[in-house]
Amino acid sequence: MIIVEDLHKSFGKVKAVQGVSFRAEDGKITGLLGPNGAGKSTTLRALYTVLKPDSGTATIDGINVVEDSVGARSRIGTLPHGSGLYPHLTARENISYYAKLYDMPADIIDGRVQKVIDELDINDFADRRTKGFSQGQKTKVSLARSLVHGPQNILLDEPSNGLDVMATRALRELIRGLRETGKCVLFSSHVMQEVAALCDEIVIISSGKVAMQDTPDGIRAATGCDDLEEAFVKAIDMVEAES
Amino acid sequence: MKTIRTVFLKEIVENFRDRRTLMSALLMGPLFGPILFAFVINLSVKQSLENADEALDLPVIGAEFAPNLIRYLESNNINIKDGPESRAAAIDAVSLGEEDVVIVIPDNFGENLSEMTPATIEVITDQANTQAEREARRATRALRAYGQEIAAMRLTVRGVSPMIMRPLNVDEVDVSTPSGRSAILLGMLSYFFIFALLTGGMNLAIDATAGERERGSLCSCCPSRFRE
Repeated sequence: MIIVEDLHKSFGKVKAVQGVSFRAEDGKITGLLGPNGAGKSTTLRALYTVLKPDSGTATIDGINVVEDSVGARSRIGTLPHGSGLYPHLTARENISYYAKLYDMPADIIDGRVQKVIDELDINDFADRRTKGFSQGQKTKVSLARSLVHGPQNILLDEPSNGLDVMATRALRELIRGLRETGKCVLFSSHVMQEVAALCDEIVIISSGKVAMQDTPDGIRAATGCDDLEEAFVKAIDMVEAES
Repeated sequence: MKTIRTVFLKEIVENFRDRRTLMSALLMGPLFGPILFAFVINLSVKQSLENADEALDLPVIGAEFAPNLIRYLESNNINIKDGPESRAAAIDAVSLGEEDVVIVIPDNFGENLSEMTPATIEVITDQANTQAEREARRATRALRAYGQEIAAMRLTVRGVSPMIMRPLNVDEVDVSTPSGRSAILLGMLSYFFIFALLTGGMNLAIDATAGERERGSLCSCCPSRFRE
């Protein structure tokens, strides 16, 4: 479970995040939705513990990300922007390298790696070097890499970027599968359909603030729009009118 | 410590598979420098050897004003040929690279010689052209030697020994041995060794540091359980 409370982060004069609060529950898919530059990635980076928030707190399974960043890291799996795979290592080596970095006992690494490879159905290209992989293959491998240590919380930063229809569908299935096993999935996106198709909870972020957090139906009701896209635009307008 | 070992092993595997890094580390670095060095040395040795033995073709303007000088030059392994019509044409030909060296003998050359005033001879050359410079040096050296011969004859005619003009006889005694000379080469080699290390390691260092950022793998590395 991820709880974010009143998070602030500025880069010089740019106030990227100004008071974001939300909860992402276990066994649910929470979507962080917002236009480009709304502060989605900044919020996620604060949760990955690579950015230190100016103020506010974020806890992962009750562990404060600032006070115990190492503890928090072991409970999250991340899929940052861009795959960041090592092109000269095979998919399997990429995954097991991360397993080693996560300090897993050496005797169980091979088994764990094989298990995520099976789960994500990447056996076909698991022993090829990742140089020249398609975007979909890369995304799958980096997702496998973020799941190898069996984290309870999974943070995905625009995971469907650059994926074709088939790959996107496969990715959605994977994310739903994670929910079934009771994981907490938090992912950011600016694609409406993506969020509508997947999320149990939607957090709409605009200009560094949370515009609305609710279920898709709740958001439709609150804005009085049937179409989620209309509702999204309206929710953002509401925030901008306030500020 | 365990993390450092993990990262180190991964870097080794990765870089051994990268053909570019491997090529530059094992082939380019250690071989490129010495091959370049050998090529340059070989070229300069070959050039200097070739030129010493070869007869020099020397275009001369106004050869008819100094028949004795021409005879002297011809006896010194220099082939005299007709130069361009005028001094201006000679300057053009040299600056265009058509001729390496042209010698201009003025029409009052014989007059000056018999009056014992210094007679002017022009050696037109392009100093920026190394090939031409070497030929010019050869021509100048031959002309100076002729001048000295005339000076010696003038003294002899006046009953003075030409030895008077040589108060000193400077003789250099070189005690360097072949091994001493090769030490200079060895000194160069140590430079190439450093050069090889630098060029060889460059790609590897770039890949391991900036490459990590460039590939975007740093961002996914950081959230892993690195100890800070």
